[in-house]
Amino acid sequence: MRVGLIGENPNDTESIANLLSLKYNHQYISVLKRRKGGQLDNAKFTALLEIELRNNNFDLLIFIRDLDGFENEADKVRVREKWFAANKLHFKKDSLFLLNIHALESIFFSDIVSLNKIFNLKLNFSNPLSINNPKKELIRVTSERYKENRAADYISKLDYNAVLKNYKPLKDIDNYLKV
Amino acid sequence: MKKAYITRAILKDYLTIKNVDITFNEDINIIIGKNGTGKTNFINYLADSLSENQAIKNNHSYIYFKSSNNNFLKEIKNIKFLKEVKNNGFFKNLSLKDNKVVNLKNGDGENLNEISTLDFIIPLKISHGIPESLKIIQEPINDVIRKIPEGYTVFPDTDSSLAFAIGVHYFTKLHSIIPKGTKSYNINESLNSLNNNLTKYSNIEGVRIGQNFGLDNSDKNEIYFNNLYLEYNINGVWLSFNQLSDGTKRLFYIISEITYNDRFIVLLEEPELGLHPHQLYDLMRFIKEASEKFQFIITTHSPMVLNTLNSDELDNIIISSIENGATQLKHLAPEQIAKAQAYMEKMDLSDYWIHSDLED
Repeated sequence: MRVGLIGENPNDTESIANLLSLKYNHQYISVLKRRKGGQLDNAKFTALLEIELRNNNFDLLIFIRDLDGFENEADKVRVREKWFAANKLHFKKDSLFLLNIHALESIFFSDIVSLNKIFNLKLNFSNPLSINNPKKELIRVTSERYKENRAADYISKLDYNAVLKNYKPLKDIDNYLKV
Repeated sequence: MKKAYITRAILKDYLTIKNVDITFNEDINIIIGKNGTGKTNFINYLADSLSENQAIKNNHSYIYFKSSNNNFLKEIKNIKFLKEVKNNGFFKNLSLKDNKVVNLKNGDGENLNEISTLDFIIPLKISHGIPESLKIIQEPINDVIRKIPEGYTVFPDTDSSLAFAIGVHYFTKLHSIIPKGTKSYNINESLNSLNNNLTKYSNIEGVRIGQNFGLDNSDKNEIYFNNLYLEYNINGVWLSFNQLSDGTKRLFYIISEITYNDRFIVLLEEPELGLHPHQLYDLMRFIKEASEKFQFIITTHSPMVLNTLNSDELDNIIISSIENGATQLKHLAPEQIAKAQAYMEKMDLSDYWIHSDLED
C-alpha cells in the first residue's frame, strides 16, 4: 500500500514513516517536502497538495499536525480538524489524521523504557498527553542531547506496541492499518 | 545563430564519471543535483576534453557536435579540418555523419596547440568564484610593447576575454588610426557593448579605463604604457575592482566574459553564487538572451535559475545523481515533464524542485 504522509517535512513525516514501519510494511511517502509547520496553512500549501495528489497514486493519506496545546483545548482542536477536513477533500480515498498533543515529541514519552535506553536516562512513566511542551521537556531531560533533526532516527528505536498502548492519537491509524 | 553546439557527450572513466551518456539542447542546459553527485567533475571533464592541453585522456569518450549553420560545415571542410585532425592523431575517429554531425573521439595523442582550427570547440568555462588575478580588470598593467612592421604588437598575456578584447581593440586602433605622437584616444570605445550589458543586467552603472592611465607612443620602436586598468561605477561612485563586493565581482566577471566570448559553448558553474535574487534574475535574463548565440551548460543549486525555463523547455533540465558510486545524468522522464507542467500552471517550476520529487 502506498501511504502518503502530509505534514511538517522532514521531521514529522519521516518520523511517522519510521514509527509505522516498525509494525506495518507499507510504502510511506512524504507527499510534500521541505515544508515547515507554519507553511501548512497557506494557499500555496493547498495548491502544492492538489498538484501532488493529482500526479501521485496513493492508497491512503495520513495528515500529521502538532496541536500546540492539550487535547481539552477545544478551540485549537477545532482549527486543526478544520484544516484536515478542508485538505482531505482533495483526495478521493481514505484519509486519517494524526494530531500530536502539543508536538511530535510527546510520542517519545509514551515509551519511557526505550527513551531511557536511547539516552541512558532513569525517567518514570507519566502520561505523555499531559506534558506541556514535550519538545522542550525532551531537550531538558536529555541535557540537550535530543536533537530535533534526528527525531526520525530516535523514533525508529521505540517499541511500537508501547507507543500504541500509551499514545491515544495513534489508535485510529493503527486500527485502520491492521485491518 | 550559433555556429556549433554539443549534441551529445559520452564520457568515461574520470573520477565519478564512469559512463555518462547525455544529450544537450542547443541553447540552455541546466544541470541540477545534490552536492557530490559529480556535476563539477562532469563540467571539468567536458571542458578538458575539448581543450588544447588535455590532462584527462580517454580512449572511449565521444563528443558530438552539430552545426545550425551549413556554412560552418563548409568552413570546416574548407580549412581541411578533418584532415588536419586525423593527421594529428589526437581525435582518431573524427568523421562527419549525414554531413551534419562531427564526431570527435578522444585519444591518447599529442596536444593540439598547433591546430588553431579547433579553437571553435574550446569552451568558455566559468568556474566557481573568479580567477585569482585578472589583469586590467583587477590589476593595472604597466608594460612596454614593441612595434613590428606588420602593424601589430604583442599584447601582454591576459586571462580574460575582456582584457583580451581591450588589448586587441586598443592596440589595433593605435597602429591604424592614431597619428604618430598622439598620446591618447578614446579607449573606452572597446567597452561600449560591455557597458550596455552592465547597465541593463547588473548593479554596475558602467566601467571605464582608469583615470591614471598613461601612454607614450612617441618612440619609433616601442609603446610605453602604465596603469591600464578598469574602474567601476557603483551608485555613482567610481571604485576599483577590489572595492566591489564578492557578488558584484563575479557578476561582472560572468557578464564581461560572455560579452566578449568568441567561443560557441559556455560552461558555467553556479551563476547564483553571492548574488541577490533580483540580480540573479537579471543575470539569467542576460544568459537567456546570450543563449541565442552560444550554447550554455550550467550547473546550479538555485531554484530561481530553474525558473528561467518555459514549459516547453523542460527537456533542458538534466538531473545529476549518484548510482553505485557513479555519476548519472538524465533528462526528465515524460511523467516528470507532465508533473512539471502541472506545477507551472499554478506555481513555479522551482516549487516542484523544492517540495516534490523532481530529483528522486
